[in-house]
Amino acid sequence: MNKQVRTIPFVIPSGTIEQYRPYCEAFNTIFSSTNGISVALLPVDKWSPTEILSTTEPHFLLTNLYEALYLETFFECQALFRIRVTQLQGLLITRINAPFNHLAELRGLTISFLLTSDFLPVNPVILFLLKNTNVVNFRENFQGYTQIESELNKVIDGDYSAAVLESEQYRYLPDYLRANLRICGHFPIFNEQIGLVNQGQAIFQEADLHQINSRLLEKPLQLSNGQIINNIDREELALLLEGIEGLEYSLKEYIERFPNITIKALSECFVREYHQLKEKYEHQLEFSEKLVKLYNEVKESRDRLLGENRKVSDHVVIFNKQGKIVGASRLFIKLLHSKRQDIVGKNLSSFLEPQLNKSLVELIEQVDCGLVKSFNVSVRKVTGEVTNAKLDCNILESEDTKYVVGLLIPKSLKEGL
Amino acid sequence: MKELNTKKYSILVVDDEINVCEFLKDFLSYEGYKVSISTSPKTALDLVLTQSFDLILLDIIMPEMNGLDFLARIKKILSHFDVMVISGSKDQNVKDEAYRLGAIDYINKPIDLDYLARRISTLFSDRIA
Repeated sequence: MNKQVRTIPFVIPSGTIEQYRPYCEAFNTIFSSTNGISVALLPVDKWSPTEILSTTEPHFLLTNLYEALYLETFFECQALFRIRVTQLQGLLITRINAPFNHLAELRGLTISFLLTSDFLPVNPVILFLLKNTNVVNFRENFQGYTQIESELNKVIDGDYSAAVLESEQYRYLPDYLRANLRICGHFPIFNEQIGLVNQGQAIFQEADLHQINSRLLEKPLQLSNGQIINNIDREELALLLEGIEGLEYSLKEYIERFPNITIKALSECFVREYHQLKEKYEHQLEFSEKLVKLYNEVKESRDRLLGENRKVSDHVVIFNKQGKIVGASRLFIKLLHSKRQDIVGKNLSSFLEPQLNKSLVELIEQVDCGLVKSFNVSVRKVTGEVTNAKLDCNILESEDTKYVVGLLIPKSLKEGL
Repeated sequence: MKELNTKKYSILVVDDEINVCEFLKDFLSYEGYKVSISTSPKTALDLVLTQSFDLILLDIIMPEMNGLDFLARIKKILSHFDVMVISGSKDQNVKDEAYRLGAIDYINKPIDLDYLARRISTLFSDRIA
């Protein structure tokens, strides 16, 4: 019987035809074993897998693991296969008789991170461990393969509750270590893409899916940047889903929170930059310590100077929470080139304007809340002249009314004398 | 001295009080910085791991996670992060602990806004120097 050929659009973001052409050819090689199904590239301007796959017509696309899970769970979609860059996986290891079976049971415990890959920890398992456990050896302290044996001995001895390492590291462990350790779960540590089709069962019959799986099990199809392998490993997903749940996100929230960067590989260049920054920071820390010491000395002498200065020239103004002036020192009045009767009763904002995007009343509110102590203001003198100063505030409570005692510190020393 | 291009720098404010976050955001935005806020240390941790910040302004007393614990965790994961503590706690032990954990400054509440602005600007200027 002749196979009925049916072509399904392989939806890709616009401008990526050349990038996806080899994929399209590879997929058609796989689909050739099915009931006459093939795919053809269809670039779209708006890239939204949820919208594309919720249409009634069949469509095929590649998406990340988490989005694929979501679409498979809540839409009528079928994951056909996955593309992975490497066979390397992350392993969560405990001692053989440890009572841990779920990520949540590791909360508050000590975990040794022995991963040597340079990747961003935007992976639900790693994120969960970083946020909820005491992680040791994370990236910078880890000395490489020589440290693995001693670290895993600490897991066996119970010093650490678990360790995270790569599948390749585990593979080369001595027998005695493997005999005393248990793999709690494994998870992908590099980005994977999933081939997803909507209305899965209606397009691909059970026999087709079986054909695809057999074809890929027999020989994974090589791509320039990875290989197409058979379908999602459900066991691998358990740990990822536990991670997402432990982070208190729903799958949908997790996808929205970490769009397209679920697991991101770092380039060598970034790693170099990271180490350079670290080195620079250490130098800077040393410098900062000296600077802080120097600053404190300068601050101390400035405070002493200001203290002396205030004795003879305090520019004090007292006002209520609405900014209405109830009193002012002689020097404050002199600074404004005004008279007492022209100042008292007026609003302070007629003379002082904060040098930030907040009104005086808003700032007084923050002073009252205990958040702000002082801020810069522009002082408008009666003569029209404007000068810069700092207003240092203290709250004065009198029966049921609050007043603010403002000490105006002119920026120019000349003004203060 | 060359004027600092504040637009280049992004700051994350972590304080459980939304009013404090909003106020500092307004103030620092006015100074020209790009500012993000978080009232939850857990959410802040996500932000730090997924976005790039030049400085974190961190409160100490927060119900969900103590600021010092947050500081220790950040420093363990990304030791190069600059964290400036802003706290109402006058306890010298807390202050010492913050410095020991790697805080670059400890600014007391109520805040001298002029000092805060200068301290941040000095920090970024030193990076260029």
